[in-house]
Amino acid sequence: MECREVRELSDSFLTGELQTETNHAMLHHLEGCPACRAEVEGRRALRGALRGAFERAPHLQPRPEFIAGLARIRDTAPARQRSRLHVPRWLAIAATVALITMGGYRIFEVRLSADPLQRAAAGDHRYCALGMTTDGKEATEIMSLSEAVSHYESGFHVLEAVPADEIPTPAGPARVMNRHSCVFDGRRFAHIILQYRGTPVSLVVTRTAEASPAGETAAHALKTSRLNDLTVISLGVPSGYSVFVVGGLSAADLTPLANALSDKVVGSLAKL
Amino acid sequence: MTEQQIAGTAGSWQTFEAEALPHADRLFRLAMWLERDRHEAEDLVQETMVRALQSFHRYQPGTNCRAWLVTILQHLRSNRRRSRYRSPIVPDTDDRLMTTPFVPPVPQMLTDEDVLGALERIPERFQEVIVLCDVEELSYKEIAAALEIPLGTVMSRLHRGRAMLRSELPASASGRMRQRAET
Repeated sequence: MECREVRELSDSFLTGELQTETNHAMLHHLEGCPACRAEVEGRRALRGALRGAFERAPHLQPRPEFIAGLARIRDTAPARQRSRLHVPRWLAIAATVALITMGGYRIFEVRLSADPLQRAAAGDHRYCALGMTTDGKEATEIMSLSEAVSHYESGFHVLEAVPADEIPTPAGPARVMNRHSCVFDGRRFAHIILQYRGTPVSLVVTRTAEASPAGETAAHALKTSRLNDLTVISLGVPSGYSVFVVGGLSAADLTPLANALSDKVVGSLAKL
Repeated sequence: MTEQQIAGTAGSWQTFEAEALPHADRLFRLAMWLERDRHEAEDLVQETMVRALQSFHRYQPGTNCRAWLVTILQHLRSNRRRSRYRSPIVPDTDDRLMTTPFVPPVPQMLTDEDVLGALERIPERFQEVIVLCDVEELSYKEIAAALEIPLGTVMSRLHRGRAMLRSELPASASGRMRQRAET
């Protein structure tokens, strides 16, 4: 190993990030090279100085009563305060228009014959990107997909990139406008809002408790239902995640998009 | 938080108290450095701890609890910033940094003010990775997860950030010496 290489790797050496073999080569070089040894020691000293400065700097120290007070989070169990996702203006307008046009419907009163999972998938997802529910209350469980991946559903990471931002279909392209995670009926969803045929359509994915029948995943059979004025198409249950496409379009109009999404989304989730 | 969630977290409180709460001091110092405001830092640390308690069933015992807490803190922080600013607030300074030329030797006898002063003078994105690596002792992988950036970006920011930090050090050290000479 040469001096130049040792200098380049010295920070990784100090942080323990090197492979065993490289580490040995570094140590071997340092034994016989006072200049590199001084360089590495200088860097080690700077790391130590930085850590020490943080521990000692008076303005960085917490108030003792603040630290002591943290134990109270157990008792207070405060409601979660979610930051609102940035919602494009067009989406807010589109969803508001949808809300107005659906004014005559009582969205939560879906038919009892509907599957509870489908009801949750249909839910009021068209409005959650606004940070509110249909009864005007603030939605509190909306977060970015990456946050949901970190804290709740690691499998949602697939949906950060799939489907792509533009999905070609025989009836024209659909475009992804927003990806987030939300909760409806106590169930956490990954929710991707697409603009398709001039209207917002939701792709919603949620973890189902029961294992999926292998045949259902393999077949990718689409199952279409109608809930009030919404079409709900089930794309299958890959790796225990139920996938739905929900929109105000007719089943015939929504199916080309469901077909286009089925291969990409179901295929990617099935690999988990 | 639902009643069931509260009941669930109550059972793990003792583990949380033993594993997570002892990191509050360090977490606060990190938050205070990043936010530069005591009220904001306290708010951020408290919310981090609440979130951590709510999700504690997802923490894997034996893994780095501090790294897990730092990740939650960073995600909260970046969500807050996103909600406050609609566009990226940190200008891309990578081009300028491509030409970071000379890395002077680390001067001896550095004071805390020298080191923190130098750190403060480099761009925030480089401060972040240096603090997470050298102060919080997170691995490159843990930093990448906390900041939601690729591993390669972590390494290049560390490399450039450290070079910048060192180039700031002699100035602050000589500044201190000049100050002493004047007094």
